[in-house]
Amino acid sequence: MPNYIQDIMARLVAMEKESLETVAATNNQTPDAVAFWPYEQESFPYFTNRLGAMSNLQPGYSTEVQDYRHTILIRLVVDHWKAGFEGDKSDIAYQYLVAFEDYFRQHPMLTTDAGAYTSSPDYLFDEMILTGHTGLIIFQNAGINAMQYGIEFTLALPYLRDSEN
Amino acid sequence: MAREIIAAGFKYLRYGVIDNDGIFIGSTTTAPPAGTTTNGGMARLAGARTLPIQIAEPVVEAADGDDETLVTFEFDPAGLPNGVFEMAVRNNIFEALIQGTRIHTLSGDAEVSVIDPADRDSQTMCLLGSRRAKSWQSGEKGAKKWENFYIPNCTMKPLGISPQQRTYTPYNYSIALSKSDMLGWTSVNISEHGTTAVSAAYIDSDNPLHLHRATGDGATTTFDVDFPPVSGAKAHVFVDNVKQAVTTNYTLSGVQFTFLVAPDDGAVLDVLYEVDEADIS
Repeated sequence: MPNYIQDIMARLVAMEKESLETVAATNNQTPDAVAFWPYEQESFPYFTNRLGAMSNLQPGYSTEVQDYRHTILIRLVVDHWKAGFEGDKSDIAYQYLVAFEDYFRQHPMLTTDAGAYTSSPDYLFDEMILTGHTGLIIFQNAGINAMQYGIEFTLALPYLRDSEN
Repeated sequence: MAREIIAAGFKYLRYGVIDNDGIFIGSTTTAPPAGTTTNGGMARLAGARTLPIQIAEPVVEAADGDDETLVTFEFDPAGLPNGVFEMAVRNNIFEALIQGTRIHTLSGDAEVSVIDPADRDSQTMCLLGSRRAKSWQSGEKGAKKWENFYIPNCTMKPLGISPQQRTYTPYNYSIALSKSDMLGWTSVNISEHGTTAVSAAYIDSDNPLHLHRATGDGATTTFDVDFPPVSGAKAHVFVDNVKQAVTTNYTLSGVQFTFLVAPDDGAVLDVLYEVDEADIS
């Protein structure tokens, strides 16, 4: 039985693949995603996911009810940074960026349209928020033998914990 | 067992119109014609930011003797909840409704909507808000719920805007609540509610709520609502203030309710029902 963080990661993987499915097909690509980081592969686009900072909102609801925000860092890797003709990877990146933003805005409770995650999880208290992204950047990955190109998104997930259980 | 609930941010707000008896009549000033459900559902008000419906504290007056309080008197506050309701979105149909004004269409799609009219006709409204929640009671702590709040009687007035350079400014409305002896679909009564009039009510549910009105004509047995109710058991049907029983009095298929016996001519049908969030538009 996965814990809630493992479940978040599994849901994000399914959502990320679904979010780019249509637009990637127009570029003869199939989106992929993994629930961990660091990671690299040679087929594009793909997502990696990692747990970011967690904060406890103060003042919270009460001493019995803790109000947390987890952040998840979602990396969308579009391609190698020198791949393709000049400008074409940027154009694809912008297509994927908009598709991803639209999808995540329309699925704020970590659900997918098909598959195992069509209903929202109990642990999520309110809608997730896409709090920002890095813009188009080159990822400086120590230990990975490729300079990759893409966007990293930050997602905030609100949830409650009961201090007595 | 006590029902305990903890709610998150505000999600949906719907409005409707009530008649002089406090009965919900739909989203316009005219109840659906007999045998139809035209405009019978509450209308959605997108972009609500803050809704000041907190209940005012009672006023306590003390009669003091030489060195001690002899007696205290507690009075209802002079004013019921009121304040400034902030909206991120301006809805000209809503604004015209609450002021009794009209929208004038120019050529093309340009529309003129006036505010602060000289002869304002206050429209009594009802509001139904829904927000995500978790059950917080023993045995089901953390389970998904919705907390709905129903305002049975209020009036609103546009207060306009205060535009500022490079700064977001909301559309403001004054809102004033009144106590009502009707909850829109049923009366407030001692046996069920322990009182005869209220200014607000909470309704806990598993899904967001919606309210729909129809009028019987003595012959029509089928009535459609705006969204498919989650189930017959989660649709609460009242005919002339009397709760109806699923299967015994009506059946549900998709968005259509079918009554086994046609409601009387002029009978008031109110349906308070749960809608899967995926079906809300």
